[in-house]
Amino acid sequence: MARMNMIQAIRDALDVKLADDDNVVVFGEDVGYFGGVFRATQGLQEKYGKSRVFDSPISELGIIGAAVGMGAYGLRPVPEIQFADYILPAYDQIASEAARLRYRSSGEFSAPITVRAPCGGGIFGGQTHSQSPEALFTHVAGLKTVIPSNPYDAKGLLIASIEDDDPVIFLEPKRLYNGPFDGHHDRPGTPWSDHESSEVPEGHYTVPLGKAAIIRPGDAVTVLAYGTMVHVATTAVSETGIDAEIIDLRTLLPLDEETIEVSVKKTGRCVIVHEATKTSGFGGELMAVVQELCFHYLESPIERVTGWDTPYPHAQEWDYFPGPARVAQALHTVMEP
Amino acid sequence: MGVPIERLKAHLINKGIWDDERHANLNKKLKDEVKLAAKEAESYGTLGKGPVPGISKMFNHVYKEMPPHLRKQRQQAGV
Repeated sequence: MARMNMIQAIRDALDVKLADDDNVVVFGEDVGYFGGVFRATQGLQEKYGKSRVFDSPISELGIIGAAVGMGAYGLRPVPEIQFADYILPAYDQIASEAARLRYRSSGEFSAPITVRAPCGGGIFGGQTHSQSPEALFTHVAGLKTVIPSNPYDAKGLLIASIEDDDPVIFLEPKRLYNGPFDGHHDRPGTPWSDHESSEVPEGHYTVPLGKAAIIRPGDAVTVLAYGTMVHVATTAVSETGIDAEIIDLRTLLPLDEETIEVSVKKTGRCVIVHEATKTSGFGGELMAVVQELCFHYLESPIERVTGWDTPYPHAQEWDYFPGPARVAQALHTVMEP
Repeated sequence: MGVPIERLKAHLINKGIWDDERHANLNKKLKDEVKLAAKEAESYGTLGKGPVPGISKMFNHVYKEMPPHLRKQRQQAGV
């Protein structure tokens, strides 16, 4: 089995779908000739031609608007928005058009598009290249929102997203492109090749949408995380020695409530971790779900570890980023008798 | 600058390729067409007179296949 980093896994997924479905088209800023800002589409234009893989003007609204129209008439577009921070000009096309086309037409038209966008911080990107806008999309009826945390999932989830007949927002944690990130920015990083999830099968396979993964089984506390924070939480758990069950949600919507419910009923405690700002963040939704499903099983109040409610800071990035120390503190807090 | 249709009408009449009578006829023809289409639409039902689709239909076509959270909400809505 091939070892891949997350960029290679994403490129491989696009390659598989471009090869097996003529209706798949890949486009966005610098996606074609240049091969993508992070090289996620490198070589694809050469292989599939300019009608399948192409550059677009710098107009996010135009990119998604075109994708919605293509989708309505039978294509399966995979537009790229570079970066998720710049997706807001396209928000109207995503929330008012792509998400509602099926509902508005009683199922006659749909927008089977997969919007790829790098998200998240930890790369010294400042406020315009670091944000985590997932809650803007989980709040919209008609969208699915996916965030992979490793190469194996990234390929399988991306293929499943492209094959899905509803619009999918596919957020790629850019800090994970080249290696898992343990949250210690001051230590040398490790490459994906040292990590078991970098073993990526060749050809077609899918990781189903709406299914979470238990990254580490445990009995003491349930940790709900996704994207980069899966790895940061893993670090915190190993540093505290607390027997936590770490759940990688993988898809935020539809949410795998069953896996969450079973785990929290077993552990009786829950810590929720995400990079995005706290207020109205997806963690609030997770907290509500756990409260609704598991209230009588809870041994302590649910804790949230998130980015602070400020714009993503440049100079103080590591005071903002919810690193292993803050996750560890929350783990200790919920474990107090 | 005025209403665009009136301006176009004046412009065409000024050029000698349009007149008031043809304009009035076209107006009537288009109004009749719209009225007929509205009547046909109303024959399939209106919000006031029905038939109004059932509550369960409200949850259809949000996604191709209904995800678990919507199924649960449909039950909570009493259907």
